[in-house]
Amino acid sequence: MRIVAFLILLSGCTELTITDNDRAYIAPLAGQSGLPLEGSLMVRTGGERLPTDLGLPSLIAVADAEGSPVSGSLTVDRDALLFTPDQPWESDATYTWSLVQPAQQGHTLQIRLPEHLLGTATFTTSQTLRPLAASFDEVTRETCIVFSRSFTFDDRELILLSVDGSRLDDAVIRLTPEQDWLLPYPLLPGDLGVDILCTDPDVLTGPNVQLEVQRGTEPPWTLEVTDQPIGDVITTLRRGNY
Amino acid sequence: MWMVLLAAALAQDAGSNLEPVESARAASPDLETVIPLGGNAPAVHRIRGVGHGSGATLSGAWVIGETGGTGLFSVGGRYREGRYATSVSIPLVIWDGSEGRTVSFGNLQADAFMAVSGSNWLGHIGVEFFTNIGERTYTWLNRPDDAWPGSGVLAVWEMQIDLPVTVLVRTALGVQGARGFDPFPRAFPRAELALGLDRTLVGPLGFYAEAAGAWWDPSPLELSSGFRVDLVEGLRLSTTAVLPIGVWAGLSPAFTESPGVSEFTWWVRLSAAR
Repeated sequence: MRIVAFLILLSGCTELTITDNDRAYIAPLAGQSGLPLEGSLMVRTGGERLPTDLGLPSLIAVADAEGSPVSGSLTVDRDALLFTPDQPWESDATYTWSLVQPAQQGHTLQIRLPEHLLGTATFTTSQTLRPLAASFDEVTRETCIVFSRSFTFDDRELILLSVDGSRLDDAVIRLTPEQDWLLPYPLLPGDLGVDILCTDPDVLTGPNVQLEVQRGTEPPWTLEVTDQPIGDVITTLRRGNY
Repeated sequence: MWMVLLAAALAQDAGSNLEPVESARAASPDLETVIPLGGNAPAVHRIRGVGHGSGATLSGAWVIGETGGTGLFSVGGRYREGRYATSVSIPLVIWDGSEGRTVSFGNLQADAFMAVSGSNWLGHIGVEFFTNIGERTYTWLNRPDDAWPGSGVLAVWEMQIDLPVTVLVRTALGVQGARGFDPFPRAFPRAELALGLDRTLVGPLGFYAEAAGAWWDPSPLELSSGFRVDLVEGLRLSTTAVLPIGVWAGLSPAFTESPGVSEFTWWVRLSAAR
């Protein structure tokens, strides 16, 4: 069933249609860092109900940095699939995980996972803060950057932005409240998600530039500024395939 | 539908010109004393058969073929007191899913019937219940109530007419609740119509066949046939092949794509009745 809701957005009073597809997402988000060592992986299927008493097939496959499979258990909570590793995640380790559509044949339950969630995403337990994506919104004229984890108290003061080697010293950056991400993404306890920094309008005049993001004296990250609202960027990252 | 057929049969009962066959099941003002309800009555697949005596049944069934892999073993008991009969059966389901083999109880089946008759036919009317007593049996053989977790009830009317061959009819109407996991709806109505025949070939050996249509049903159209042999008096062994032609033709609501001629179901039953 297609669930439609309308949100009146403060920025532009845009009407947003939320579909079951929008309610299907992964957590941690693709590229996220700082996942708790005792954390679980979650896939929200967006309305596709799955039985809780079925020995589910390997819908979620997890591998460590060397490609070795990570064993764990898969449980169902309404439309959420939860993968919990048998052992806590290693610290400062990177993992890949995939949502796999099981083969459908014969007299069995039919599991139809959202196609846009099928694929592989990565996450890390390290506390490294890195920019995952940057976008320029043609409507608000803001440039926003998605970071790989939620900010600590010091992070915001340490972030420096540059374009083509020129420091954007006059860029006033601010943490964007979660409600400005357009869609709510309920997360598991302990998963603090990511944070977004946005500049004042017209710090950049458009997309398609190389933005350098540096945290203090750490090596800078360079990323291409795309031309889409930041909510769309988050949606893309929440769908994996990163 | 069954109500209409029942009314038609009762009307026929009132005004039939047919001569009663040479059967103890002919019309009688005292059904309980004249109709020899008991023993192993003619039955096919959907058609359970009218007038079985008290006893027990062991059965096994397998879906064989490319889309097969499901098996069901059942033990049941019947009790008859005059024109009234009731039965209970407990199935054990074995099936191979993508996570390996699962063994679990399926749906407990129970029914209660009252025999009725006319000048040239014998029938029964009653209800069939089922409810899940196992877990994880997210599979089915041919019927929506044989294994898939759920509960439901059917109002059933069956009859048989003893002609040179025994003609069998079953109609049923009911509702079923499931758990709402694909491909089964959360709740749905059910209707069945089955026509069958049974004929003794030689001595203890007989042949039977059935054509059935049903909806909502994972096997909406079926042809079934088989043989029966009375090993000794009151002990019948039968074997039935169920051809799910509706599945083959892509009419099944339980398959997202037509599997083609991919499977059939083979039943073996041993029934003891007195």
